[in-house]
Amino acid sequence: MNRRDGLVNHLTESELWQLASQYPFFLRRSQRVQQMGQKRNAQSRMGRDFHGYAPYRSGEDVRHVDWPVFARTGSLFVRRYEDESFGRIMLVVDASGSMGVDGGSKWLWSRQLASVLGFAALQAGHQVIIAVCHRQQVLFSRPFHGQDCAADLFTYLAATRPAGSVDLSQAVDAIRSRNAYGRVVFFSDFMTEIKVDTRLAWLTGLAERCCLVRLLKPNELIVEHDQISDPESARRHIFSAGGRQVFQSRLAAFEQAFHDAVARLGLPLVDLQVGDDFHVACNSVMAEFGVGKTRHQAV
Amino acid sequence: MTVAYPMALLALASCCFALYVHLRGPGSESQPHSAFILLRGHIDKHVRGVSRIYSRHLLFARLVLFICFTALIAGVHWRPDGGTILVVDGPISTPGEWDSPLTIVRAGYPPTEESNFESVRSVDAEPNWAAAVSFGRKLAPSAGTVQLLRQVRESKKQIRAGAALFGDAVVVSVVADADSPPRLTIGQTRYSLTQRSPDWFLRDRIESGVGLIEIEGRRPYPICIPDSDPLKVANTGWPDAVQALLKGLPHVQLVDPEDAEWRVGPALENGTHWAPFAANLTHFTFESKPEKLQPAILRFERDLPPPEVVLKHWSPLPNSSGPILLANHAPVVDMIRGPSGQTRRFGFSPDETDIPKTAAWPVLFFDALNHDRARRSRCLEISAGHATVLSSLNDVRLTYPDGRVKSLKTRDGLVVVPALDEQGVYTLESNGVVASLAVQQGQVKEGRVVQMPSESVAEVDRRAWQVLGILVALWIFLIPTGGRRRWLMLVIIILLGLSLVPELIGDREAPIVLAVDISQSMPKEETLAQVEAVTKTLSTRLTARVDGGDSVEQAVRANASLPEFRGGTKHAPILSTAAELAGSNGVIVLLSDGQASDGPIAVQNQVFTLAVNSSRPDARIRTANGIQVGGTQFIRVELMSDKTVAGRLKIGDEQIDVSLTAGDVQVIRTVSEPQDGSVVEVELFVDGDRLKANNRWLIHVRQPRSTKGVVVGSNADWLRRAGLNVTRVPPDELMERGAEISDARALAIIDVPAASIPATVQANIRRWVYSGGLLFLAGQSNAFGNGGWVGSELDAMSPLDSRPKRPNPQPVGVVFLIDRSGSQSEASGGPGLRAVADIASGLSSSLEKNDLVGLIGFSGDARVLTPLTPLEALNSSLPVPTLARGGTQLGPALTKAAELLARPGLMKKLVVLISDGHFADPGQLQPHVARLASEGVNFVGFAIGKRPDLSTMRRIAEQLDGTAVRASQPVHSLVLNRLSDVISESLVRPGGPVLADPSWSSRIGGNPPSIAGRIRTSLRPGARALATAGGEPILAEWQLGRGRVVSLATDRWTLSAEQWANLFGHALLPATGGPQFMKKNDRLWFKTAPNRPPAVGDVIFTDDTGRRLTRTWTPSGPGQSWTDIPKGRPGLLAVSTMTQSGAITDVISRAYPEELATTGVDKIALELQAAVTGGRRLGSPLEMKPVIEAAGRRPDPLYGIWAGLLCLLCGLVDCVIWTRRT
Repeated sequence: MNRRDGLVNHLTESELWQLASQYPFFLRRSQRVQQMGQKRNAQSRMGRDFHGYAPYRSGEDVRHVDWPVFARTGSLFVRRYEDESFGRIMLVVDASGSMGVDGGSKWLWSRQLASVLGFAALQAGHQVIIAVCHRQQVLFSRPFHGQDCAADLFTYLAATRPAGSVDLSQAVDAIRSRNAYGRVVFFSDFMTEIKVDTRLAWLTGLAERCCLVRLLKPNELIVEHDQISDPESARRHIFSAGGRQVFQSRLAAFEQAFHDAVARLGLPLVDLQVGDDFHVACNSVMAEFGVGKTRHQAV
Repeated sequence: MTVAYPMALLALASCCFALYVHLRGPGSESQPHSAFILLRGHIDKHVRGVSRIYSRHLLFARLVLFICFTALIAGVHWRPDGGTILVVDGPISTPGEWDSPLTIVRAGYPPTEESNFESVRSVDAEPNWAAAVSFGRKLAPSAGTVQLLRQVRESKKQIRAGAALFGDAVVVSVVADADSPPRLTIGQTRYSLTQRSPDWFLRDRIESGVGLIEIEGRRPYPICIPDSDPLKVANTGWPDAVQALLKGLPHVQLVDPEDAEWRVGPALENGTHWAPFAANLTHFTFESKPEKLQPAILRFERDLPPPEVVLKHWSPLPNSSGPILLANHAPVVDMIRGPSGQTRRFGFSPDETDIPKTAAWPVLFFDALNHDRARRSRCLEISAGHATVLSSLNDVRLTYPDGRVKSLKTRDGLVVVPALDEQGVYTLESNGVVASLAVQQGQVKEGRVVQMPSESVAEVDRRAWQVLGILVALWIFLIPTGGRRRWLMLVIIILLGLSLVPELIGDREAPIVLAVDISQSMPKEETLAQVEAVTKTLSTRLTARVDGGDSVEQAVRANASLPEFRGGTKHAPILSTAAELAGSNGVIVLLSDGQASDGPIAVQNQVFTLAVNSSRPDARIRTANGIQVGGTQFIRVELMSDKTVAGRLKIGDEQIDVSLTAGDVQVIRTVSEPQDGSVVEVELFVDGDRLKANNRWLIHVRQPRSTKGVVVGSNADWLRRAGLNVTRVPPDELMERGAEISDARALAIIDVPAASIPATVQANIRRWVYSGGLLFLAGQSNAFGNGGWVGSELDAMSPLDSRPKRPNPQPVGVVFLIDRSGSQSEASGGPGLRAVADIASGLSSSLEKNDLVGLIGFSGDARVLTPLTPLEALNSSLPVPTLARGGTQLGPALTKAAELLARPGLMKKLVVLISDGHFADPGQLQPHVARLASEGVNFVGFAIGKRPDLSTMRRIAEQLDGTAVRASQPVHSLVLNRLSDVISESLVRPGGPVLADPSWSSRIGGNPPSIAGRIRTSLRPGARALATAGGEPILAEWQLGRGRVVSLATDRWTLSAEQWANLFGHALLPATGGPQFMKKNDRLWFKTAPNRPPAVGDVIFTDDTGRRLTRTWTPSGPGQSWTDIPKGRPGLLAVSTMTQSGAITDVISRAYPEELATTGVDKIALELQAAVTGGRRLGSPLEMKPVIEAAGRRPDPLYGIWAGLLCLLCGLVDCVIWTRRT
């Protein structure tokens, strides 16, 4: 059930799960994590432990479809095995104070999008790790694997309230220090650094693996008041005469630097405006991991 | 909480305003913007340091600061409102339920705060309730309840003990209800005590010092053990009277003067206080050239037997502080103490007075000896709660029983040990010398809560809020702020800092507290006037007033009215309470007469003393007693006044005009017929007397239980007139009626020959005198020399020697002519020569040692059997011939006698002829007699035998101016009597005027009447002559054991009844010795010998209304106990108690309270009290300048408030600025 609360859609866990199940989810081979010494041979799965059936999603190898089941049920199902190689996706969610401005709509979107993406990954049998950046810390969840971890994943994200300042480069350093972190998706407004000339420099070398999901409020990059406060601290500032215009120009330069950096690094970016249709936004994000349309559309 | 000021509401409102301002301040209206991060980098360029404190902290800091200001202005105390102050005097096991929070205060000296009930150390003195309540109020000003909790003292667990010298040993007596035997620990040595009902005792030569009586499960009880070693006394340098006494005193070791503890020498330092660190040295000074003052009656300051002596030449001792003997109330023997030792001063020369002949002389020295022996233990027993003043030139370290150490500073050579409130041994150490204080549990009365000022006198300490305000303002100052706001914070910091320093700004004078003695002895009108004058002079400077006598009655604002004047005087309670009210910088003004029972009190504040002088006199009856003897009632009243006044004294129905001199004691004696009942009321009327309560006395006229007197001989009327019930006993019945003497108080032997009283009876009389009887020996014709007393027991007991004093020291020559003819033999009917031999044994009683004795035996011829030989060389034997035979030729014998006596240097020459008188040559004797006459020889002839012939002897006697008598009695006694008579020429002398000796007036009084005749006697060494006639003593007395012997050398004398009563007074008073009651101050003492147990158990007092009041004896040492006399109006109390010495009953007079016994101003005590605290004695209530100057300064609480308000204003301005601009 969808509810509209201002501009933000509050979706329940089951609604998000259903939404996730609509999207095919693939990880490129390079993003898969495999057990040491295991050969990736489709044939070699014979004789392995049968884990269960999963609905066939478009794009999957049709050789995995269990045709007798299709004959009995009329639905496509693929067989899953325990030792099947799986991918790993790491969802880095920015929970800084700036994500909580204006009623926390950016945070809600960010968390719901991460949930959908995570659920989709779980449904595809991949391992999901959530990294919440909060008050200068990066809090890594345990690796979620299997559909029964969905509730834990959702709860993990829902338990956080955006506050404090965040340095995403810290999160990247932490991620780098872990081996085999798979695909990395950043959900943030990317208002986390000050220097314009080195924007997103910390993502250098991660371009192949990462994806940026930027969430901004409508008109967020326009300063309308003479007084602004820091959402990440209790500080306030009153612009002196002409100060706002100067600040506005700085902000524009800052925005331009972001896009320049994305282009320079070749980073996949999903730029979203909070307040638009959430499903559209969801499609945009999931397009990065599937065929770009829902199963309904595929069907 | 206490909100003292309404402006605190304003401050509180400011807090709310600050909160509002903050909420409305910059940032609250601003929008959070995610791009602020860009701005952050911009601002950070202008912020120094990395510490960032943001507006949330600022809000919190401001609120804290404003709360500080509110609390500062309101005077909020740290302690929350309500609660209970519990004042306790020891550990409490079940304190009960009280409103929290509890403030526990131990009512000690000084009061202290305690954390729990169980660990409170016991206060063994009268708890310092008032000061403790005041202290508690200061700790918890808003406590709703003040409660006094007394610890449960189990009387069964109490120990009472003491030690005393007994000969060369120490007796320790412990009274405790204990199953296990108490043990005495002295240093490392332990002694066991032996059980004896009702006490445990020890008699041994034990080491001196401080001892602890230990019983399992009880607190050890400290006692001082006196030093029992003999005292080293210099063997030279003393006046003769002292030298003679010292040789005979026990426990004295005569040594060279440089090693002696007692020596004659100049006075050491003058002082009156205990000098524990002084050397064990006593100097004696004797006034060799006394001023010639009027004759004065001597009396002991202490309760010792009166010397009954009048001093003719004496000097009052200057600067005397410890008088021992007083002459007309001026000290003539005293003791002064100083850091180098002590000095015993005599204001007269003992050799010039007859005091060495009285019983008081050995008592005086024996008392001093025991005191100085005991002093060497350097230990002092004091009651807990009493301060002690020491004489010490150096600072003293005081070590408490629990090991705490306190340093006591010396001031003008004096050190005041503060009141010690806990039982135990306290050690004092100075310059390597160690002394001890044995602090024993004192007397504890019921306590009550004193009235305290309704407005708290104690002011709230605001400094904590000021300091907190400074810290918070500093915190805000460090928060990045704009210029003006920083300046404001700086102003707040400086303002609060300045208000903390009273010397710089905002201080005011420390409080002055007036402590007023409102004891019974204070003159009410004058005290009220003084209080008013002081209050007026000090006006607003006077913070509070404490009124109290022996406890604090009230602590009030200075203008409150004074309560009723009552009770005794103790400075400790009022001064310690005043000290609590005055705080550390305050000053106390003490308004008192200085007659405090607890000495100078050491308090931390300066004490300025102000005497309450009065122009009105206080005349009082010092003491009064009466005795009824027979049909006569003797009343003796001592009056005293502090000013010279005239008044009237009413004794019963009789009124006497009296004139009293300031400071002198006036003794009034009356003799009257007995009145109905045994109570005589005495009242003194003096115009304008300021204290009338001490002008009345009830005398219980005593009647000696036994006034029986036995008279042997004549003149029974003398004893009868003195008031004795006389029984006459003939001499020959004395043996049979001996029992009648034993229960008599006096025995008079008047004109009875010694031979009439059997030797056994005389020995019994001697024992009876020693046990306390009065023996009166008198007579003339049949007494003393005439009564053959020489050599008898009677003579040995008499202070008058039966042999008169020789006028000349030359010896007497006596030649005995013994008839050894046949007629003298027993076989031929003669007396026998053996009887003659008995003379020899009695010669020493008649002759002096250097008198010469010769013996010539004659019959047909004459032989010198013994040439003239000194008596001492004869060894009491004469070679008397045993064989009597042949004829009787007297002539040659007389010639031989003349030859023997023909030598110079003889005072008297005497020939004693013993014969039957039948001579063969009566006609040829003339030339022989003439020769004797030419030699100046006297002659005594004794005719003995059955048919003696006196004719020849008489003829010789006529020529030689001698006598010849027929011996009807045993020869030897007759010879000896006549010998004395002849040598002394004549024993009986005619009468004449009688001269009173110095002791007459104090002993008998009045004028001595003339006598009709007397017998010559001489005064024995040590006896005291009361009257003389013709240069020879006629009346003398001395002490024998507990008894007394009075000798009178006449049988005809007419004294008045009062004079006879005074002379026989010893017999009319109760026998001395044995257990007895003594009334001292407001206590009744039971005293007996130290080897006897003290009294324990109940003592029952019955007053004149028949009300019975039971008290308990408190044993205080070997053979002594005390109890408080029940308080009440003056009257008589019958006392009855059961002791180990049997039941004792007595009647005592309950006089006015002890407080009224010493009135007037004690300037020395007031000066000392001021000196020990660094204050001074003030001359008048108008001289308050030194007091005001001495009062220290302290922060003005009002300034704190103003500073707080200013700071609050600054804070608000800061808020407003902050709202308008970030």
